[in-house]
Amino acid sequence: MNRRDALQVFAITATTPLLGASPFNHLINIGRSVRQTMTAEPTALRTLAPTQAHSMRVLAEIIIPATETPGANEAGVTDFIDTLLTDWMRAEERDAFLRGIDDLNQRTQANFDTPFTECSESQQLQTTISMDAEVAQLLAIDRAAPYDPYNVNNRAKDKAPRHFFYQAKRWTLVGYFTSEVGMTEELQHDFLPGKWDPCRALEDGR
Amino acid sequence: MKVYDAIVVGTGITGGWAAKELSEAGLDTLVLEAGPMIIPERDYVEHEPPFAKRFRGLRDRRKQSERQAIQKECYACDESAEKFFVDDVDNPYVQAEDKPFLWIRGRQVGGKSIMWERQSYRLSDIDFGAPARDGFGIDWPLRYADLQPWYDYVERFAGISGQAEGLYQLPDSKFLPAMPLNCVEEYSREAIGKAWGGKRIITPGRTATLTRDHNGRSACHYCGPCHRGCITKSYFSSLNATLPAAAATGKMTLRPNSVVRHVTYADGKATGVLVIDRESGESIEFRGRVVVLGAAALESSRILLNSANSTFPDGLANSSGALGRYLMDHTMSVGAAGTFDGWADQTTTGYRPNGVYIPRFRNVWSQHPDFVRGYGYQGGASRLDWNRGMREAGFGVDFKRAMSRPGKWQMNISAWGECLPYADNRIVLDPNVVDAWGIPVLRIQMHWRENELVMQRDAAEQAAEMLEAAGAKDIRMNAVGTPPGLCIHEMGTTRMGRDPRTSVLNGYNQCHDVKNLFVVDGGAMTSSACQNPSLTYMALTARACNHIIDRLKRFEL
Repeated sequence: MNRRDALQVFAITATTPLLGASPFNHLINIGRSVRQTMTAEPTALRTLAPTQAHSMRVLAEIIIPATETPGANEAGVTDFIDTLLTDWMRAEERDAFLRGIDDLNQRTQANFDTPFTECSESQQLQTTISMDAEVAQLLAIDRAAPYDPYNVNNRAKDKAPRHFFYQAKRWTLVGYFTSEVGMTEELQHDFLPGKWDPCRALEDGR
Repeated sequence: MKVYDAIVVGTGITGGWAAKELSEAGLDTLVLEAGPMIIPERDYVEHEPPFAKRFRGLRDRRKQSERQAIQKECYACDESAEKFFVDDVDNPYVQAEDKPFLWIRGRQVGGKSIMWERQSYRLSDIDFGAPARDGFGIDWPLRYADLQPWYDYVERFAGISGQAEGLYQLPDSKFLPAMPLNCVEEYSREAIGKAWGGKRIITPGRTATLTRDHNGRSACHYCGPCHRGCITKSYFSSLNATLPAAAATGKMTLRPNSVVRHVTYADGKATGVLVIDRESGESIEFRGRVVVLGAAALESSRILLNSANSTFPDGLANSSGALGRYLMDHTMSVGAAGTFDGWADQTTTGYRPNGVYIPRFRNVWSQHPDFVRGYGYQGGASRLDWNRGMREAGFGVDFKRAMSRPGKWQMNISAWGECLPYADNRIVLDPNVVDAWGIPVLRIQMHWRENELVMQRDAAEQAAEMLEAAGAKDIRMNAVGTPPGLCIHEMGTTRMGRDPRTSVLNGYNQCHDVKNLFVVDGGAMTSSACQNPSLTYMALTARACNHIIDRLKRFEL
């Protein structure tokens, strides 16, 4: 939220005499609560082994790197994924994900004779490029799969989600864009727009 | 024992209105709510950002599958708002085999009016006249002219934003300014209007959300997730509007944690209710001169079924046998979605808690060969967000930048369809199962029939055709709807009618059999129409309360 919009909300609520102070205070406090970081200190990992967490951190930062805004690691993506693995995913989803992380090493062992985390940046990038290409192919197959609008519940399961990189990218995206830095700094999400403008020109692509 | 002038059961949309109307008329009114008190300053959660929640809005999947296996099917039962939905273990019901019915419930002061979708549409004489015209169901005991002043009345208080279109099949409300269409919707309105000679109209959704300050409540600040509450009281709910008005009279006694087991009865009249305290389990009796049930259709009907006595062995006020029958909901979720290549440099500001509406066009000017009644669409256009990244190739610096910017415009529309009343879409008491308070629960038996399913296919196809006419690309159509119940427009189980032999209520929501007993919620609906029904429930409740006040003055109750 930026200051200009906070002031707009101020103006809107302040013109409502019957409302009293409470809603107004609540609204201006939102900006504060959003600013006060709610991302906890990195907690001890509960499912990812240290080497798995290391691989995930490297991969997440390749997917969402730090630029002029923080990247996946500063946003705590691997901690979030550990929470999902421990308390959210079904056992088979968790096991498939952990297998996928371990397979990263097999890939780089086969290609570069080195575990993923110890590969050079260019080797890690090369590995990611090939995984991304594999997922892209599966996505294309899924898009071309027959689709019966009268029988949508019985269509074949998509293939792309079975690929580890699809899942790693998916949870990195969710973990990053729902984090405080992801929402406030990268998305510049406006928590209190204060108005509905149905049509305006983009500014800096936003 | 104290005798209240009126006892109102339920604090949702209709209970809240009954509380307001009766206490404002000076009646000593006891308002009972099965669930706990909700204090907006403490309990509303609309401004919780995703990163304040453990699962970032993905929900506590394990807890939900354990305690809210039914409720979790509702889009609004999210990680912040799940507390406003019932615990399915404490509140069981029995579904017929192979015929799922999803019963979504909110038990707290404010009921489901906290989480409702706020879409507000009037019914017309196309709806009130339908059963008499096509023979499906019994005649409504009223017409639009009877309800029109009461629509005016509740709208003036609640505040409905929308755009006047002058349509016979969807009468205009007393509108606050509409939330204007965005550029893609505006373009689609023109294209679709042209393609169908003005008979298919895209209009801003009509919603009980304030677009300017109204009756001491603030205009919307467009933060988005209204189903979690609204500290500026910008949308209509019992907590935001009717209950504070009722409290201001000093005539209302609000008692939360009061699970009504049954209505007590003697000498042809309801004498009060028996309550089981939600927390202590204690049974407490309350007396009233008038009893008004507004606990939502299925709960009110359950109370009547549980109130069977020697005079009414099949449920109180059920000499007709109609109690529990003719259960209806709206069909939902069929429609189409597509993307647009244009308007790449345009976007919107604000999280509009609303969308567009396409009023009914089937069986308005001519009879469709394959089905009776009709449907309306809700939906809207917006730009894709970062979630699209899961289905696209790429990663790294450019990918990150692209995902933080809006993607293509996409538009989706899906149809809410009318459901006909069938005697064997019904509820009965289950002989074996009781809830956490020892009260017999419902066995619900309902499924969509031919007319609903044929209509849904047509609605999906027409949605795809309209998007095509608007120039959308990659159109995906879906002709498969969701099970009954999920629309949360369950209604009809205490239907009103002219003939006491075929209906439970008369045109004033008054039981034919028990004159001082009223049911003001969706149970009263004779037919379902296709419009979101809450506004009609409000108007019917206000009208019924006016009748109660009038008859009490004349000592006729």
